[in-house]
Amino acid sequence: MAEQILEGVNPTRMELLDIKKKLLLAQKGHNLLEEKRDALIEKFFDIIEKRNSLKKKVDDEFKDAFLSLITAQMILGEHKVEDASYLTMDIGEISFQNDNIMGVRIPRINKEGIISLSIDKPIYSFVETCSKLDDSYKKFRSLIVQLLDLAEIEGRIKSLSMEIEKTKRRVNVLENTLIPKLFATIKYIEMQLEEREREDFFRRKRIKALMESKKK
Amino acid sequence: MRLAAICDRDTAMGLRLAGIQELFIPKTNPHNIFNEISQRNDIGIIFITESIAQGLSKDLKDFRLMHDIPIIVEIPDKKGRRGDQVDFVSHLVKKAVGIDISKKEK
Repeated sequence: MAEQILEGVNPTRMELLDIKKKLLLAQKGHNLLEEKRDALIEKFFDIIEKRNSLKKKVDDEFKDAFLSLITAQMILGEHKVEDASYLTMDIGEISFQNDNIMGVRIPRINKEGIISLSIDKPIYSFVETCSKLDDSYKKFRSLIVQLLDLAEIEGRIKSLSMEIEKTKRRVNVLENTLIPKLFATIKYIEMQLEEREREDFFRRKRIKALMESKKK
Repeated sequence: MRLAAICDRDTAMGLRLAGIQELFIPKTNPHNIFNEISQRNDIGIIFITESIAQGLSKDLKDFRLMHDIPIIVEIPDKKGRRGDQVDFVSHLVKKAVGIDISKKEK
């Protein structure tokens, strides 16, 4: 591909100075964005690692919780477990806050509204249920708290990955389009200016020769 | 904001036991339920079992790209994780970094 120059440029000295300024700015911006991208990716790796381990843990606990639920179902019968499940308290509400990592808004879950296991006691009757149901109740409760963490981390991954993509695109545009274009334009203007100088020089020589020939 | 879940009956029972009350059990078409939930603005997190998430895959993806909240989390059902599909977050990771990190660790 031939080198492209910026459109609508007059090959003048003023313009050359302007474009050199622009080039400096673009290079500065490129460096900054590159640093931002690298820093974001570093953060991203940390979070991904956290997410993978948490996900594994949650999966294991899910298995465990389902196992105890099924045991409870075996002992009590499916209907009784379902009836009992309607008798638990609401887990409470969450709220979102925004954290800020390098200009990226990242959701943070405020879990103050969640009723913790130590305060909340099951309100189904002791008479008709068994300890296995209590187990699965506890397991699912603690599972939900971890799921909230997982949700938070996944939300973070999402906003970070979008920002990384945006930054990457900007870096690429600067690197592959704008900066080469500016270089090409500088070269073009310099060549034009030199050409004009040579023309001028030649013209002067020519006039001088003409004048000298007239004198004789 | 409240927690909600779209899941099958057994998962619903477990989650209800834990105190989540916005439970939706799709009988035939999960799209209607999903649309209904996504219209509401009092829901902060939606848990969806993987098998249902697969049925919703395109809608879910578009929705997640457009909205930050509610956060959607895929959970396993009682049969455990399905190993055959790439979940949304791993997909994002791959797109952003260029490599599949979770696979590298295995």
